[in-house]
Amino acid sequence: MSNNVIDRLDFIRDLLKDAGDMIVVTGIGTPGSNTRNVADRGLNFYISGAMGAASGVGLGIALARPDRNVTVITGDAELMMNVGTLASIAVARPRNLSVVVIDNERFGATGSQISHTAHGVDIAGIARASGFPLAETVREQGAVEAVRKHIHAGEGPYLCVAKVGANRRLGPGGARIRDGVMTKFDFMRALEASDAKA
Amino acid sequence: MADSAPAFYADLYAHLRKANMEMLAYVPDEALGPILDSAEADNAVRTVVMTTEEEGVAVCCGAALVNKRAVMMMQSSGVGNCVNAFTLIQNCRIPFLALIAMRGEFGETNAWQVPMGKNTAATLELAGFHVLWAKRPEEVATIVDAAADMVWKGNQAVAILLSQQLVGAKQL
Repeated sequence: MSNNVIDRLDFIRDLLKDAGDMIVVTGIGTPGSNTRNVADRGLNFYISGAMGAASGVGLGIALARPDRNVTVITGDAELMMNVGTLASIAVARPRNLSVVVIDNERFGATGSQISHTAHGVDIAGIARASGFPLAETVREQGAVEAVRKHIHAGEGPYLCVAKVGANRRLGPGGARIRDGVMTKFDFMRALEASDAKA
Repeated sequence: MADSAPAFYADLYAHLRKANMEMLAYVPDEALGPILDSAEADNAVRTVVMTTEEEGVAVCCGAALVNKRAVMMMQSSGVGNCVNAFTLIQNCRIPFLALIAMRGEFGETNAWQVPMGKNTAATLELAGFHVLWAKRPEEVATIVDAAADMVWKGNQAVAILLSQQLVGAKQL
């Protein structure tokens, strides 16, 4: 089944290289810890609960701040829990919103049970059928350069499914879960500072 | 807004706007129709249709994180769909205003609506909300003002429940 070759940590690190003033939202699960471990920055908002909420939070931010590019980084099972959000995003059509799905075809955090995408559920296909102008699946690390261009292009909504190895490797800092209020204030302070500079 | 809509709807909308609501995420309900009509006719407000109410919770939280005032509008049935999403509000202490049209209470004729209707206020209380009931037209504006202050000045989560005593029980 899985011949995926993308390393989740390398992909996220390269995706967020030179992220500038982009706002990033991560969903519950391994992708959030990955992002904190390899690409931590003030303008990242890390959700460590409310499974299924990441894309909706990204949508709310993108609509409220059309002047900023917003990227959601989340796992396949987190996305699938509220897959209807893809339809809502397609209807609202925020050009500044991207969703990057780190797809290991597992419910990683609960013990790596097989998830829907392992059985062939095609998240990029769902996004395209919902009305995303561009939604694609990538299987090689080399694709990250093009994906990075898309998340900065402001021509979304854009979705990328990155097929990564079937593991739940967290990265150098391990599981990184912090208090929600602190997470909110860190993000809001960073946004304020970034707005003051702009 | 339809001319035939009861006058309190205009009050309700005007007071949401006075409080600088700029986004309205919703799953529709007949009793919320006049509010949606007003928002869609208002260039200063972005409406966002959701497939399920929990998406709306996420969208309004996202807006709040970047200081935009958003309201989640739904029928009481939708409250049950939101329970886990509500933890985002509590964990991050996000100011949140829900505007909810009731089913399953005053004058309800459809028994299938009753279990969620009876549990709506308790569910919201358990999820950390202040629950404000609107039952009489003359109190609607005051309730919206109080809710807006609690949410956007006091950083609280508040749900305004529009009773069927106010909006009328749906006749099937």
